[in-house]
Amino acid sequence: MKISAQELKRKRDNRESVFLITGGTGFIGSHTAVALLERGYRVILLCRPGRKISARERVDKLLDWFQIKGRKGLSRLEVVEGFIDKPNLGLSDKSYENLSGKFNEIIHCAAVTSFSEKKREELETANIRNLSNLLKLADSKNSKCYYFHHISTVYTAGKHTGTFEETLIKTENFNNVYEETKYHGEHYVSEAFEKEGIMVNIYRSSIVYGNSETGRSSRFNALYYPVKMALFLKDTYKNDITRNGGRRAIQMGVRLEEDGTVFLPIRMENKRGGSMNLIPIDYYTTAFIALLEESMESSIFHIVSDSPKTLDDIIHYFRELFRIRGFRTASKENFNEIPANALEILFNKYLETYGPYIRDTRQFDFRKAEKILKEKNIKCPEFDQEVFSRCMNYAISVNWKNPWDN
Amino acid sequence: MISKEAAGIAAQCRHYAMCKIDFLQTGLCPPGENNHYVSYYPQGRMDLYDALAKGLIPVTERLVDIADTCTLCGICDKQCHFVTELRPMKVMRALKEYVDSHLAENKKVVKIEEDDILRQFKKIVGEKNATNDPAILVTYSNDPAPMAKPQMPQYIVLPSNRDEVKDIVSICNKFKIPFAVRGNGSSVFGIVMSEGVVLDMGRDKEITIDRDNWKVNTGAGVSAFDLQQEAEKNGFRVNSAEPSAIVCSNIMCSGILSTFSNTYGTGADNYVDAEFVSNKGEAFDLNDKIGPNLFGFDKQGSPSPGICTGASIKLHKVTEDEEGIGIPFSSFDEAAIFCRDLSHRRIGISIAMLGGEYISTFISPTSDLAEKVKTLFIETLGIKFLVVVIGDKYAVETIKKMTPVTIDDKLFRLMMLSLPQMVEGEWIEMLGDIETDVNLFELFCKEEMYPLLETVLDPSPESIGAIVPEDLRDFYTQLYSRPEMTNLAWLSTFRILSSRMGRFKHVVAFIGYAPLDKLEVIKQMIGEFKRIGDKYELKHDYGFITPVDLGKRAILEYDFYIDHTDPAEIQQMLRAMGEAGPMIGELSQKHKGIQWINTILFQGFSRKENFLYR
Repeated sequence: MKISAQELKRKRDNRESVFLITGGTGFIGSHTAVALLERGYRVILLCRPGRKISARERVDKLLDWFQIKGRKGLSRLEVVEGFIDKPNLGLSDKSYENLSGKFNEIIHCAAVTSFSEKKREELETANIRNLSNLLKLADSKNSKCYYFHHISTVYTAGKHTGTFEETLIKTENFNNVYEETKYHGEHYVSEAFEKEGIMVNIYRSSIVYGNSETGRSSRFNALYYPVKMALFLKDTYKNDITRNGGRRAIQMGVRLEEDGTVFLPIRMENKRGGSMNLIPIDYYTTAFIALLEESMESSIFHIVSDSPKTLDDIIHYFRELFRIRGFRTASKENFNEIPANALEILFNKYLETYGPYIRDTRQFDFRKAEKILKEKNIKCPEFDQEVFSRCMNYAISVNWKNPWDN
Repeated sequence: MISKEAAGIAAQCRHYAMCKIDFLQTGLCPPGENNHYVSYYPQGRMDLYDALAKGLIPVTERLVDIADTCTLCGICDKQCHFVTELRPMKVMRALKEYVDSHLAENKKVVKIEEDDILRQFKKIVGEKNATNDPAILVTYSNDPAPMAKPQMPQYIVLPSNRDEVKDIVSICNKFKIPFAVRGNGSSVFGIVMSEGVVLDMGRDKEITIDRDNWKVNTGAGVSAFDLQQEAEKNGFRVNSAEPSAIVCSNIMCSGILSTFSNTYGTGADNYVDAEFVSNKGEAFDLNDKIGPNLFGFDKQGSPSPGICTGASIKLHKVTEDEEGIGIPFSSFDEAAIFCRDLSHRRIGISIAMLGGEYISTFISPTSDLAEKVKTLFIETLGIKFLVVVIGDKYAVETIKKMTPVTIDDKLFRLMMLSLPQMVEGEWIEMLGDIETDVNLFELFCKEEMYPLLETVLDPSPESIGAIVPEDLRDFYTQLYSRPEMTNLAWLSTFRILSSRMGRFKHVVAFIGYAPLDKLEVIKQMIGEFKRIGDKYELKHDYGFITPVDLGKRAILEYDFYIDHTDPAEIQQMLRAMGEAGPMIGELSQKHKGIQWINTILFQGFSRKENFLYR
């Protein structure tokens, strides 16, 4: 369905534009849904049921966590139990037809974010093939859909060197299957949806962590994983020292210092240069909605931080918060001189996967997004010691588990 | 009053006869050891209680004696729990209570009169060793094998030597009474039953080591476990079947197959000589110049040549530096090619390529843990196949150079003693969260990781004790403190873990030979078994592959599992077997090197060259 810029603006201003969100119980999807509801929009969440609970129950748990259950705006929320990977989304003909006429804009958050080649089939299905099911929905005879918002990643840049601009590029070299499938997803939506007269926005973000003000999060991978691992090892060896005499700790070179700090001999290999581009979820949702509301024609935006952090910065935050010593970065030459111990093997295995994001030398141009965000005075908060501590303390308080999906 | 609970347990006995060997150093069931009839062992008492529950037998004099002689010592509970997780003590107690209350109520105890034939049998084997009492007969009347229909024999006779066997066979022939010979348990083909006489060879337990001739002379009632134990004491090893199998019976059925067949061979490779009594009651030896040629092989199958009353089995030297090593793989092809390559290169003595179901079932003391271990191995660590090799230190060193990671003796012990911690807890979540394209076992099994694994997993026999019922905790803790229980070489030699396959359900194993140089043919066979298993809705899984004759051929086992007390499942199993047989027949017409167990039946003395290369 085609719509004029003027009409689109009017519909959004009057909150007449209805959003269908896929992946609505995921990290990005749930925050996006809640932010839209809070701004007065009508939202339909397309969700799978859980192993033992319905989609609606999953959403209720999620709303509990967001502490908005029972608020007035929730009357504008509808949950549709469906499967994005099935024909007709797994709905009956009647329900499918009913759904297809109910929304105007799709926000497609559903994705598989694994980096593992072993999951290629799953990633290709989720990140590429399923898009055709959404296209079919958006293009069905009852549809009033005029906009498709595609949630993507700046890492579709792949192994692109230099500055990655807010445009579609052609590349064939990727660090992993996630980058590759998201790249092909972007190309698919740009071509296929636009061909049907549906406008397409692509939002590419860098690594999204928890809320910078509250520390709250529902996903604990990427940034969180090594911290969780380090704390687990710290506790394990502390236990060995305090309960079993510390024989194994001595063997590993782990010790408890007089001031109560724990010495963990862990070097993480650091190639020269490179940093990690991190943005908090609160900034992401604010920026996303601002960009969406200002978009009257197809666009690509980068939602990134202008102040990436180095591995040394993050290790510093970590040591300060958890009173752990011994953690440091080291060169490849250093590892050649002193072979990696078991703890280091474990951490460097993690780095093998996340290395391209932790020691990232790619530059992400974000002038297009920045122009809109600056006007609205939206700025990415600094990822500093305070924010790190807040986020990690929250993760520990919920035992590193998604509070609504376990 | 029959206890429903006890009857339920009794019906589940799989006849693996592990209660007839002292595989855990608990000692043997005392009345069983003294009386020899299976009826006096826990297995027989389970069958007796099942028969009472089904109203198949009255209370007889022998039944009273069997119940009376049970001391409720608890050995059976330890042995059976280790293998199947069943608790036979409840049945032993219920049987005693049933008989006690029968006697207390002054109910009739049936005395079975002797007939002339029985008197003749008794004259040969002694008063105690022949009977027609239904309490004994019924314990020889069934077999969980799906092909077997229960047959109540008329007599059970326990001969102790070849002369006695000759005389018994003569009487059978004279009176035209059919007979069957029974080893220690069940048979895939249900051939251990007869409407006439069942000869239980269990009394002949003679084992004589003949060092100068590198052989051990084995009586007809010697189990593989007892033989191996005797060989081990003298610094040797024999090629042997499952521990409770009677060696001579096993040879008659299939010949000796094991993972050591990689170097020790199969069929005639394993024997120096053997003695027999023909079906006509005449004695002959394997090596007789004139006599039945048991080295030959008939691909159409062959009837039983008679009764094997003793065999001389080859002894093999065991070097002091022997140890076990596991090599994990995520793909069938890689694992099979590695196995074959080792065999071609003559590296290692025993080689087996095990599937995930086998590994997890064998090493886990409970079925609950086995399920979790299976998930951990296959899904988290990516170990879909494990090649287990027993070899000397040179073989082990070479294997470590051939492959990036291995599970050596040290890691195997560590894993065995920390399985409960391995499958649960924070660390396993974290391992699963490492997004890596290499298989996690490549990280987990690195030697440099051992100190960390030890710290995180904190292996101990106590951790095994903690997952079994409270009354067995101390026993398991002490058991797993013994070095052999975590030693791959010992466990592969004595095979005490393999019966755990039948813990969930009775196992019907499809075993045969296949061409190891044609992996696509082996995969086709496995694919067909899988298809048939799915079609008939039976639990099924790949078992193992062992190279034979320097990797030219292989032993292949694929297993189906059934609830042998469920008639519907038995029917499904029979249909599956009916389809699997022609499938193998067709494949063996097309490809050289396929030979299935049903054609090998009674031809276990054949030269392997006669059935592997034609």
